[in-house]
Amino acid sequence: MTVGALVAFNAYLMMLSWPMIAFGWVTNLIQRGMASWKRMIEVFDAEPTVADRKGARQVDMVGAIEFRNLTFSYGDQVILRDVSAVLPAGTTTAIVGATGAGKSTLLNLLPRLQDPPPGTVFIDGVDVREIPLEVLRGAIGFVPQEPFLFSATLAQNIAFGARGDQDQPERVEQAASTARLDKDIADFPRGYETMIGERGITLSGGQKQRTAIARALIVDPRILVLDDALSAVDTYTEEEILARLGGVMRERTSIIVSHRVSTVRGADQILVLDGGRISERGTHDELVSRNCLYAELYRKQLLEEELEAS
Amino acid sequence: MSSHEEDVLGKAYDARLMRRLLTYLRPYRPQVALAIAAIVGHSLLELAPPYLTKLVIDRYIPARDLSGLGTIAIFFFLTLAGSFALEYLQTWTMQMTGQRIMFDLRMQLYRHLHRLDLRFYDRNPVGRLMTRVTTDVDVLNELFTSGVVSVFGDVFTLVGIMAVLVWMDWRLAMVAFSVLPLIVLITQWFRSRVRGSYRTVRTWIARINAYLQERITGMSTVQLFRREQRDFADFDEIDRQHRDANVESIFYYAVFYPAVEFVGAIAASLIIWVGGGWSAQGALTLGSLVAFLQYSQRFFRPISDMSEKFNILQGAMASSERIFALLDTPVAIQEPHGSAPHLAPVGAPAAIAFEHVSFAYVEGEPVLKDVSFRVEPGQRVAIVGATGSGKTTIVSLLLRFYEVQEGRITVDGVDIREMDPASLRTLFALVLQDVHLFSGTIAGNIRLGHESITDEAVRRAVEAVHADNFIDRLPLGLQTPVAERGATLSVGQKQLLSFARALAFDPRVLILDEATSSVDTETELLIRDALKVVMRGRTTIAIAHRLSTIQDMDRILVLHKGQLRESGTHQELLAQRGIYHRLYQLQFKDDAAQAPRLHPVG
Repeated sequence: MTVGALVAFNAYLMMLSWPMIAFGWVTNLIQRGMASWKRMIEVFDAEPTVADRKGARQVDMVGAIEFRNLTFSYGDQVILRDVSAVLPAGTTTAIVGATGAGKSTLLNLLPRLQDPPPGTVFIDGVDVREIPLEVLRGAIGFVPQEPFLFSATLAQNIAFGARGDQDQPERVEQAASTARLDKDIADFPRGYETMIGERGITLSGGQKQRTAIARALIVDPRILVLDDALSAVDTYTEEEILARLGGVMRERTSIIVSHRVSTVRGADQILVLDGGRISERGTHDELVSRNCLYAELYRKQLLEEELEAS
Repeated sequence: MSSHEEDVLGKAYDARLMRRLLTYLRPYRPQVALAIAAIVGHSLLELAPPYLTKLVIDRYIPARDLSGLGTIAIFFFLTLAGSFALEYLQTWTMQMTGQRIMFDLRMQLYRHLHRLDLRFYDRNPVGRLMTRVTTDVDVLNELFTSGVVSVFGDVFTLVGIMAVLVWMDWRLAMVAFSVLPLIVLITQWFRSRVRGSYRTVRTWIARINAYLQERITGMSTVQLFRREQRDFADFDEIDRQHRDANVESIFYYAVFYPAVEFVGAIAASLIIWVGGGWSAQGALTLGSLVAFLQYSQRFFRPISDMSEKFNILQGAMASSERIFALLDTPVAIQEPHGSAPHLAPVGAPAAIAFEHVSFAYVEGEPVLKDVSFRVEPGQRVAIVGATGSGKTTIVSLLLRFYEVQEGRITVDGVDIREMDPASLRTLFALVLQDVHLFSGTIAGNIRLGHESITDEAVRRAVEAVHADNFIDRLPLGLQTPVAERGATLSVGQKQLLSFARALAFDPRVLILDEATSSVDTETELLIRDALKVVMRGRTTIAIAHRLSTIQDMDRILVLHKGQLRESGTHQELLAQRGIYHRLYQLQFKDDAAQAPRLHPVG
């Protein structure tokens, strides 16, 4: 063997050590990659249960709602049992009921935040599962019980769902005024351009709810849903908002959930939910004369007044 | 975007930060010393093999000295074995120390987070704080495990090789070193470019995190308002910027490493050309030439390694700056110095006083102005007022979630700033407007980790607020698991649980913050019934919008635009015909108009 061959042999041997180290390292990388990949697959494989069906029908919304023999459960827990109701277009329906009676769930099924069973929830006679989500949700102005706002300006939050020229400043201001947020905004240093959230101001619970109402109004929905949307608003402000909403609600199908008789008494029909069932329905006067749950609720509230007045 | 603090990255090296970082190594001095000794020994041993090769070629092969060759082979083996042992020792010691430092840092951060007040959490989203405690700490770990110590090794290897080369043949050493200016230029170029692009990458990853955190939390709102496509476009843009910034930094790496290799190849060519000539003329031994080539190969690896370390260093500087900024966030609510003040025995109702208290969340926008009132032991006081009048703030100040800016608050005559915040808060049970439930069972959510609260006490509390009605209908009763944030429970049910939670703790002061506003009238009556029992023997402060819930309170305080405007019993306030009277009128005038028979005037 020549000296040159020895040197070359030695050099090759040294070069061999690197790939060996790299091999162990790559094995480690592959294992970590596989672990991450498995977790990603879990996310990818989560089937969207709420999705547009093939041949979902394009419809022009009028806003007539119907619940037909609707039964709905979360796992083993039955939330709604055999709920049937017709909410004609342009009317206002109030839903009252005890805590946990299923009011919020019923409302969530309408824009398909959760999917109702087939053939149970209809808008203008079409199963909501057959309506494209874009059309369905575009037709519904939804004010949730606990509204979520984004870290952006007030104007951007109000115009969150705006389409086309709906985000014009006049429309934003009009929606804010109907939700009686305008006075609050006037007090803010930068008005509609005030940042809210982590890099801006913190809104009070009532201000959040009113922002959410303005956000729902700006999309000019056929259907307006208020899920106990005034719970953190004081009585004086609630009064004002309801008065201003009156005009808006006359042109739309509205659903209001509330605990206050004073809020729901003006509705065209009142549904009383009890343990997931509709136990009573009718107008305020009809229900009061029928001497059931609602009447009892009403009497209790009257009684309180009487006690206070004495 | 919450990336404003990520936007500004500090210097690549900051002596002040570095000194502070090194203090974390202090408890581990022996380990660090051991690791440094090991890596220096390792570097020195690494110097041996090429020289041994030279000896073999120059001395033992020409002399055909087989026993000498055997000795060298044993030396060669011992060197490699020693180098392996030392490297193992260094890696193991440093990794372990790094893990311990990470543990220390995380604990320090978490402890600090516990002491920060709510104002801080109003400003800092969860995602950002999570990053501090996880990712940023990991980056520092990298600095400690593969940065600080191995730099010593790299430096020793470099200096050692240079010394050996000069010693073997200083002329050929100069030839080999002639490429060094080129290396310096390439490294400078790489550093400045990578630094800029690293900063951009960090900024964009921070934006991605902030954006995702918010949009995922608010997913139902995004879906309801059909923002999916627009949000997707927004995210597409952020993600694209992130990708482009990464691609740019990858480009610099892709150029840098081959460039260093290339310069190494130039050096090797020069050595072969010049050294080969000298060797042919007999001015240089063959063994020296081979050793020179081997050294030159080992010479360039530490150089590219050190440039890589430079990145770790830069990342660590940025992370440590943010970690230290968090650790340096002053704790607004300090524990008192000196002896703890004496408070009335447990169980006795406490007296509370606000004395000329003023407060603003944002400077120039006062929420409370010169508020003074007293609550006697066992008294039940209600605070009413329009939205934004400052009711909730009063509670936050009392519990020292925020610190008063003017005036003082006392409990049993002691300024709350002189109490340890933890023991102050044990005096109170709070039923908040927003109920936060933790994942666990219903019983666990009532007990909140205090095992001293027995199953029976939990049961009693649940029954007292009539939450047993719905709990007993659940498949596992009190042991039913609660999903994160209580997603499967209604708002009213969550509120009942928070009532039970407050009762189970048997506090001296009960604070109800709009506690009954989301419960239907029937549940509200049940709760009011239970509360009467609970309020007995306790000081109670209630905040409510419904005037009906507070009329039997001992005293009602009316807040208006941050000022205390009226105070008295329900009847007194009605007689005053002021703000309270107006609120009262507004709430009931509709019903009064429609039910005149039930509502006698006067």
